[in-house]
Amino acid sequence: MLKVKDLHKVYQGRQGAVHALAGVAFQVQAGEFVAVQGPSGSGKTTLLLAIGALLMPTEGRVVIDGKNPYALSPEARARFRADTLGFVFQQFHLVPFLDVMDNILAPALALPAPDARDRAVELIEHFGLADRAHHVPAELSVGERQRVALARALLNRPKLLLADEPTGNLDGANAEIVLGHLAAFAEAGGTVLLVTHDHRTAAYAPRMLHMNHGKLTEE
Amino acid sequence: MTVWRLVRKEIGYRKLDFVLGVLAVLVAVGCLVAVMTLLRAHHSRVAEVNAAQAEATAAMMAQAEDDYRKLMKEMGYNLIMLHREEDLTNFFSKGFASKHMPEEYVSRLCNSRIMTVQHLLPTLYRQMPWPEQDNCPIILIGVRGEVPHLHSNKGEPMLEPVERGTMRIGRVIHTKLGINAGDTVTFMGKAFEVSEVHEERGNSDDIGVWIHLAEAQELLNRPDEVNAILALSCVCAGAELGQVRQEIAGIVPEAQVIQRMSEAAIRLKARSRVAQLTEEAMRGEAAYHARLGKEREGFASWLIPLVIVGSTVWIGLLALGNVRARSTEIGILRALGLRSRQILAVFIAKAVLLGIVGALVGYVIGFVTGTAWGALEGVPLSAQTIASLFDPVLLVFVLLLAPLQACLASWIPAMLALQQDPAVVLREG
Repeated sequence: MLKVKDLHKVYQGRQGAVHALAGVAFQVQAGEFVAVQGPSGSGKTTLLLAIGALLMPTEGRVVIDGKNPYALSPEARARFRADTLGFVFQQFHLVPFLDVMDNILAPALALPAPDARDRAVELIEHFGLADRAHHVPAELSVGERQRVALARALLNRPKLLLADEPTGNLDGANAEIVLGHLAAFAEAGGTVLLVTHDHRTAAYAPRMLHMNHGKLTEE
Repeated sequence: MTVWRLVRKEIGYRKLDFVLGVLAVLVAVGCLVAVMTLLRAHHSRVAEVNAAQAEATAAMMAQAEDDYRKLMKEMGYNLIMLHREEDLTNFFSKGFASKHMPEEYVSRLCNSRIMTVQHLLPTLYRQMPWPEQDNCPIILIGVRGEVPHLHSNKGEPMLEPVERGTMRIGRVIHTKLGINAGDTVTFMGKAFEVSEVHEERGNSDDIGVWIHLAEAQELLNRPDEVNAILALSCVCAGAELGQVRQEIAGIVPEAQVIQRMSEAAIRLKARSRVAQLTEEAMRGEAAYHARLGKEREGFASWLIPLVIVGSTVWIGLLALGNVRARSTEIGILRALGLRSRQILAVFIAKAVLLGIVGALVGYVIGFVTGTAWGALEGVPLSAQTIASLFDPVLLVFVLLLAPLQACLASWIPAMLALQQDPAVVLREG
């Protein structure tokens, strides 16, 4: 499902070059739930964005479902993201002026589907947000916001779900709920790549990778 | 979910941003429409004033014409047609013509297409004693009234005809002989009722006795004859004596024409002077309005571009602020797979909406302001005037221009939004 080969990413800053990724290589099979752990600044988010076709690597290749997104045109890459990937972020990144239903439907802007609304209703019920469907993010708890973000990531039935510290702002109960949903997605055949500090992840992700100074080691 | 819904929701969320944007368009459109409406009102007012001025001039000219006609009536006719063989030394020394000519000449002139004379009055004119009044010297004037001119309508006659059996007398005859209006007198054995005593004129008319032409011809034994045809040269044709003589000679070769006085020339000059003064007044008025119009057009020529540029910058800055405020939103939308043109559409659709709303509201406010301003300067506020000031072309123009302006102003910020790296936004998010 996912092949990462000798991935490098160098940021050119005022104080010199920073090697955020220094030859990362690994593979993930379809249906796997993989967690990447590591300290802050180890390059986890950079790795996730590079895999998410949002950050062109300096060197190396990313192949998702047999395609290298960086070999595509920007328009085709955007479509590829909409079609294949789902994102969940620590800060949720919900659109503040859209209610729960519209936030979940936002990916349909990129990939319109006739059953998008039915799918959104299904996800709202699945994530226990039925009574919040017409609330805006500011009216939701942090746990609810992350469930909305998760539902949004799943609207287009992605093959690979990329989650960046999704439990970072959640209390224990909500973190358990989110991790449970990610595990359920993987059990249903989806692939999850999660970067996190959260040690509770070990209970849900069968495969753990460790990252430090831009390098990845298998635990 | 559509881009349009996203735009509407965002507008609802950032109302102040949108209101400020609309305000920018509104100010530009409002200024443009107000100035254009005012200029339109100004032109309408100028046309109205000019029409009123022209109407007043026409009335003034008509009044002047009537005044001159009355004056000329008092002064008498300025042309005298005499028999060709009349000796003018004899005529001027005696005060009347000794040669007679057929009354039919008048008919000939009236039936012709003569343009240089009007108010033709056949007369039989003679200085003689009044036998029944101790041979008091008088001037007998037989008149029958003006002969209608077949080819033109010259208005009211200058001299009212004398009815048969009646007589009009001059002031000296009245005072000297003690004859009053209403008296019955005998003249050459025939009884006449005095119908009118003329005011003092200070000339030979004061010893004049006017009776009907036919009665004068009978009393003087000159049937169907006259010794003078009085006429008035036509000022409207600007006729000069030579031209008058030439035209009359073509119709009545047996007659000669003398110009008794220069009233016609005076009349022509006076009339020309009135026309000149009126034209000067009209030119002055037109020049004043033209200058006012120029000043306003000059004012508009720098105000409108300035306001449009200012509002474009304003909209651009608002759009830039909007892009900055929405950087995370743009980043996540791109992460979700929205293509560049969809992100662009989000900003451009908002700009178009902002332009349309601003144009509509701006047009209404500008129109009301321009109309009210025009009203303060004397343009009447009738439904008809307001309808005439409404310019559908201008409405269409601003409805096209304002969204275009908003799009152009939002273009650079929208391009900046497209260039934002979503990875940076999401990593720093």
